[in-house]
Amino acid sequence: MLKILTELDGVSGNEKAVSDFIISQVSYLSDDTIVDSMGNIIFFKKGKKNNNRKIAVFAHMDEVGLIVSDITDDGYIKFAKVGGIDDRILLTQRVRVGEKGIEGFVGIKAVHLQGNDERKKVVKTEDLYIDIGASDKEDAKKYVSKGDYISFVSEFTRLHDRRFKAKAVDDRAGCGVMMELMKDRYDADIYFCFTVQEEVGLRGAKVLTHRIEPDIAFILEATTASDTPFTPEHLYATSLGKGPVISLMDSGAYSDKELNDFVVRVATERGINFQYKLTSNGGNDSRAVQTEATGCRVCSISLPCRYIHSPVCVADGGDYDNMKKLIKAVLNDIDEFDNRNDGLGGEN
Amino acid sequence: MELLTRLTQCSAVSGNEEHIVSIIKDEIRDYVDETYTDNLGNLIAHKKGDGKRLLFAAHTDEIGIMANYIDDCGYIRFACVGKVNLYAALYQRVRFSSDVYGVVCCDAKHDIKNGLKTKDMYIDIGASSKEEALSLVSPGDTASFCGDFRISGDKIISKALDNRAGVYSLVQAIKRINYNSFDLYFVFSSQKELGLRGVKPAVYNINPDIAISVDVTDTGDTPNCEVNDIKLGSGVAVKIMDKSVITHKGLRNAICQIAKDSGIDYQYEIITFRDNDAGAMQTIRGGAVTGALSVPVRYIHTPCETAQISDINACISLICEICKKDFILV
Amino acid sequence: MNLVKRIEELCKLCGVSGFEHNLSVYLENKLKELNLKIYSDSMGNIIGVKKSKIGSGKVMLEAHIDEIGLMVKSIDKNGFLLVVPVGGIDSRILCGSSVIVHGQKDYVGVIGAKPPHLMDKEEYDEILGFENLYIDVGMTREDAVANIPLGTTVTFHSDFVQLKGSQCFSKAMDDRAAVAVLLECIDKMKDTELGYDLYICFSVQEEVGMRGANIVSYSVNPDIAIAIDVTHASTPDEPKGTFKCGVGPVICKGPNIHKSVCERFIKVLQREQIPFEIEVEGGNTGTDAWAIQTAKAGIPTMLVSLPLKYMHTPVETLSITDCEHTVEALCAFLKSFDRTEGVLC
Repeated sequence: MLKILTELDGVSGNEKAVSDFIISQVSYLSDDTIVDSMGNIIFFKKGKKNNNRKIAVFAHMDEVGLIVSDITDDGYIKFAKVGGIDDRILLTQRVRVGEKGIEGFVGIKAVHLQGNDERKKVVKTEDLYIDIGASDKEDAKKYVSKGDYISFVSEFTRLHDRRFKAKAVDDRAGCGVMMELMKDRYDADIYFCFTVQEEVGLRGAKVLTHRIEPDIAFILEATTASDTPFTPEHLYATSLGKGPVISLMDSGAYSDKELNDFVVRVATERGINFQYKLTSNGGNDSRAVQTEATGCRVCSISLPCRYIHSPVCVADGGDYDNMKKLIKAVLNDIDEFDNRNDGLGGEN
Repeated sequence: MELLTRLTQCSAVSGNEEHIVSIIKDEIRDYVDETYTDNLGNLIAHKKGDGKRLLFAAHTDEIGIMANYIDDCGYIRFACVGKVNLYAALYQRVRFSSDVYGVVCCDAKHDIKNGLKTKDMYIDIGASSKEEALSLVSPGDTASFCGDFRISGDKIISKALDNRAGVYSLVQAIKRINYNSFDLYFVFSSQKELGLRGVKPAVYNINPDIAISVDVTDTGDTPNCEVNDIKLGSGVAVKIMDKSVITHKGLRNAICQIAKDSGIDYQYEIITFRDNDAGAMQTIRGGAVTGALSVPVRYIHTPCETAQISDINACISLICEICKKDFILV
Repeated sequence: MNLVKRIEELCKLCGVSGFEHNLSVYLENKLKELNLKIYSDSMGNIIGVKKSKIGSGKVMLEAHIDEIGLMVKSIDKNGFLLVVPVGGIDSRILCGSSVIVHGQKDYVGVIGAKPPHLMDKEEYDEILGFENLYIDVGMTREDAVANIPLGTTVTFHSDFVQLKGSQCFSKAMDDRAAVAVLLECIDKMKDTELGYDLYICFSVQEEVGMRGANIVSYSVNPDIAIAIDVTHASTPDEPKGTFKCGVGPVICKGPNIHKSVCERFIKVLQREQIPFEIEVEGGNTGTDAWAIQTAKAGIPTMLVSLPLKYMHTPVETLSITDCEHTVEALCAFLKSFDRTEGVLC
């Protein structure tokens, strides 16, 4: 499933291929399905018990990528970034352009032609171009238009042991987990939310939150693992193989302390390993979900992922399985979580 | 001053406002019709009235640090909660909620002339091993800076006057209001220092007609500082603009008129930095008429924030007068 | 009234973000003349509605009425005014310009700085920031304090001038030219019966963070929204990735934009043979469209821009033909459907 999901193209604003696939696979499991004007999907699953609390689970369908901004007279494609991408990873990357999936790559002049100064500089997006082999502007226009989205090409590949590499693990991993979760029915009413445009500013989650007004939300994500050479140990955000990640605080949200404690308790009871995220940068849909509309309690549970936002994300299958196990257990037990606010918040 | 002492010395790093909320709740309970807390940890008090919904908001949280990584020797690496000035934080004492104290240090080899980042800093809580440290502090625990409450002449020096000065003003005003022509809501908001987060849902749920934030502002009365006309001792500041908000002109004028009529000292506030809950409140739903009052404070976000008692008193009086007047907005 | 005249009148009005009162009064009158139902809200956004007798959908056209400017933050002991920027202004363009200070009355002032003769070499090479600049209105401190309260706003003192060809310059073309386009558009559609309610929204405080658009789109909650703003036109120092004045309206594409509404708009332009260009933005468009799209439960949004040179200066320059083509484009699009549902899929 992860192979199919990660190989689909769904740059922010162009998530249709991903959402069509998800709908085709799981809509039969849903009691009520809404697709909104931005392309967010909400699958509602009624609980076994009557419930007046709204529980929501979020994962975003979009991935970082590029978009065609112009075509040069020679038929090369100029592009802009969609979402946060490090300029340094772009050189010579293979890409697919537009709905027809035209093959191309990010070009750069041969090293022989570069002066000594040039070789030491980071090449900026505005100086890069994509070559699709077109002979000139007219030729290129037959295949590509301004505004076409561009995705990385990267096959899902198994590495040693249970590790794998793929593009878009952020956040197809979350989508995959959620599709699995939907197979069960829980005591509580649950809204399974597949959001769009997370990578360009949590745009989809914001409007979904206004529609649902949840009381409790879990955000399923992929997050930075930096257990790699040249990083001091205290700057490892997370490590591969140590289990799903519970966020404490990131640049966007301060996870609800009681909800975090509850998740930790569930994990400990079931013997599922987990880790905290040990740095506080980055952010995800939880920011929008926590503070939009009526406000809600949030907890982010993520898959640790090295080289995130690149075509070669590396993650661990064991972590993925444990993430599924943990969230399933949390949703099963959620009625035990006492939403102790004594007020109207989230209720009206 | 006993209450202000307790309020400033209470630890409430953003996201951990439960202790200060319980102090405030005890103080105001007898003076309002109902109090409740919401999903974000805001404390909301309602004093019923017949008129329009008027909301006051004062944020309860303060900046601080969060422990995240504990090394083999028991030293703690940390992240900042809110906009901590690391230079001001260096070699300050911090207090974890569990009454464990620590010192903020930087790696001995690091030359602070090359800048100061949290990755080069740590906290020493006096533990001699990882195990000992973990028994006192867990990842995710927060600590506030230590800064005693002192009165020096007509000024107060303490940590967390941002925004306990505002909280105190609002609490004292609530106790004094004996007539209100509005339906009054008081929001003691959470997580302001993380980006105006708590107040948003609170205001969304209450949907007020008029919203006024009570916070602190920087002054322009210290040597060689950014020029502005705000001075300690010149009264409560009525905000015109900051980075997050341009306040409603009609409301601003009405507030100034009330201050003039009641003989309360006030001054205008125009700054280009700092966020304020008012910025969030103004654009919730279809919008509320929004204003902001500020207590002038020097050295904001350090353990020795300094304010003048008369300015706080002016702020309290002005809040009370605003609640009384059935003013019309032009 | 012709379009040039409309733009001129609008540009001459002064309304820094948060102080748009002059514009509101003017626009309320204009909308009244055009028989629209008028609302305003807590921030001062002005909303005009052309009600439909047939249908119930809502389409919103939006342009912002505020302009960038300065605000007086302090008056020094000799009566010079110290200022802060409201909105994004390059402080380097200010020295030597003349301004209007909107105090008790409007006062003309000039922006000065320390003369070059008195600067040492290092100082001379440094840019002049807001902290180094001041406004001289020729008043003593006493006069200044009495006539110019703190918080007084300041705008550029600039005429409306027609250049060769169809280009004009003035202050505040961003976004008054678009406001004029919208007025012209409803004027042209006076006698057209639409199948949906048409909301014309003139929003405040765009230049300080799209604040007015946030609440106006929440309360109107339209089925389709089109924001009209300006985009950068090419100049010799920035020829790449921008548009020439006169190429027609610029239609934006990217995550901020609703795909099928945009495709339909483009088809209409092609059918009517109205010239246009495509602009691509990978994320935040920096316009009200960004705020509108995520209001409430989400609003299908489009962005149409007028190419403009020298943005945020006293000499913002654009081509009247672009404005005319934008009027035609909007009218043609609005007439191309009866029900909003059909446009969304």
